[in-house]
Amino acid sequence: MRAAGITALGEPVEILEVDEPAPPGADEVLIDVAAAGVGNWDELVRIGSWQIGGPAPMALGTEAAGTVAAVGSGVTDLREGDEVITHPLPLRRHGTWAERLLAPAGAVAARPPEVSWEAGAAFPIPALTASQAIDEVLGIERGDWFVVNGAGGVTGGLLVQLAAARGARVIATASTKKAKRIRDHGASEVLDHHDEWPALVREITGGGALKAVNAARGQAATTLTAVADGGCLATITGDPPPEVRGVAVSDVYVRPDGRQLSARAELLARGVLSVPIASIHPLEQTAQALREAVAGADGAIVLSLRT
Amino acid sequence: MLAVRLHDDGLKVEEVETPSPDPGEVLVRVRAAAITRDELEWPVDRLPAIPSYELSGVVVGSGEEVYALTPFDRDGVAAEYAVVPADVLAPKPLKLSHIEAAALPMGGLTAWQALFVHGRLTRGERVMVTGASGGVGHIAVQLARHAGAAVVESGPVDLVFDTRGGDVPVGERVVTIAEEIPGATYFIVEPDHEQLLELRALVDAGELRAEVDSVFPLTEVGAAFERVAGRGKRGKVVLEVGTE
Repeated sequence: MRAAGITALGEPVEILEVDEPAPPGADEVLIDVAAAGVGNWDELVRIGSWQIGGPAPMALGTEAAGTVAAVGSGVTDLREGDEVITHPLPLRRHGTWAERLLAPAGAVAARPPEVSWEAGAAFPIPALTASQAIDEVLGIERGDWFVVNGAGGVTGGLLVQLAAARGARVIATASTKKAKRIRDHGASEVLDHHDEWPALVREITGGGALKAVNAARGQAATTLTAVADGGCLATITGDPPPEVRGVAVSDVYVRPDGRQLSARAELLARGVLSVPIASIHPLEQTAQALREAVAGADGAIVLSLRT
Repeated sequence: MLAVRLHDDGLKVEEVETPSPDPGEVLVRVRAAAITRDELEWPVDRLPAIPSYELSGVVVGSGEEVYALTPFDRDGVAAEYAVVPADVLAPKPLKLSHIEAAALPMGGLTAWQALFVHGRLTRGERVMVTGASGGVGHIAVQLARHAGAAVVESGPVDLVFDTRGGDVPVGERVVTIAEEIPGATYFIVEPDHEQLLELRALVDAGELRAEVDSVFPLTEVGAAFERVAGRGKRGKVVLEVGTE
């Protein structure tokens, strides 16, 4: 089958012809891929610093939307023809940038009918990351002051929306041109990330926010200075600073979870959450799509395999 | 601890050993437990059995306030303490008392799963709920409206959610919890931590409420089950389990 991937770790992404997936094992499903997300985390897989499957040559890609083509003998809640989305780790060797994908059934969620293939494909990793930071690590509750540093990206936007849906009072940072969108997401304050924003947060909240998440690369330590003594900081960029002033610091790595994804997808269907799409590419342009994702786009980048 | 147990010859309130959790489970100090019509017919193959599968309470050790729908294939929660799989628990809605929180899980999860998981309800669709004032129905109506669907009382409709049985109206898609009928999707509600989180958020935002019909002390469980089998109730019947 046709795929986009690498012949060896560190090699550029190219179009490959790889073997068809095996028939699904007991707890697996085979998916005809309709669309697949492209994120800067895929660059980590390409260079070998996020090991999730393989060995190369292999298709890359860590999230997808598609139609179930076959299910394993132990799968009871999915059927052939179901439309689904998934962050399918650990990979059954090949990633999602391929015509067909073998996925662990427990990592698969239904695609709500309102959600486009493209939005569904770009949703799993940002949504699971936001969900795990907010609901599991930080335990956001109604009325909490909550800071999102780096709210301009796809995950940052979902962090703001989900925290607002949980009833938090959200202070977000972003560039000024994204401020309106983030206010529409439910943030009560949007601060320019070029300013001395932690001081503003401490002023607004009277000493710092109880809870904060850092979604801007290399800025977890800065975000920490906006957190109140004894508060909680989660960072999703792999840069946890040492704990000070009794602030608990957590390093959040996304975990596949079909049930969690399913519940959050209902929020996407209802418009409580949203995924802006920056561009859609055919599989042949995957290398370019990945370069765009690494450079930073205003929204999600998606491969469409529907022709 | 004090527990309600179903025996061959009926319900008894008795002193039993406090259970201890295995890995993956936690011990919950039960503060309220809700009961369901017909549920005493479910555990007949594992008597004596503790009834009630919806709780609100406090995790022993951590002090976290939680609520849950618990699995149907093991002892329920009508007792001072219950061992519960950790992955079915969710934080209790802040706005609700333990009594109100215990009244939500089964109706809330059943309605959620019927509309969104099995019924694939979308914004702008027309949905009919039979038994719309019942324990599940009144929650389904609120959830469907919140999802942007039109709740109607006559056809044509995109989705019928039948909570009552008998003559089921015609719809493009039919989901039922009453009985298996041809052409309809019949399902049994499953515990789900993630969906409880969403229900909690809706409740705390003031967008969802679950009715409590009546409250009985644990020791009056017989009267509680008479009430739940009777006519004219509105909402759940809840057992209150100690308040100290």
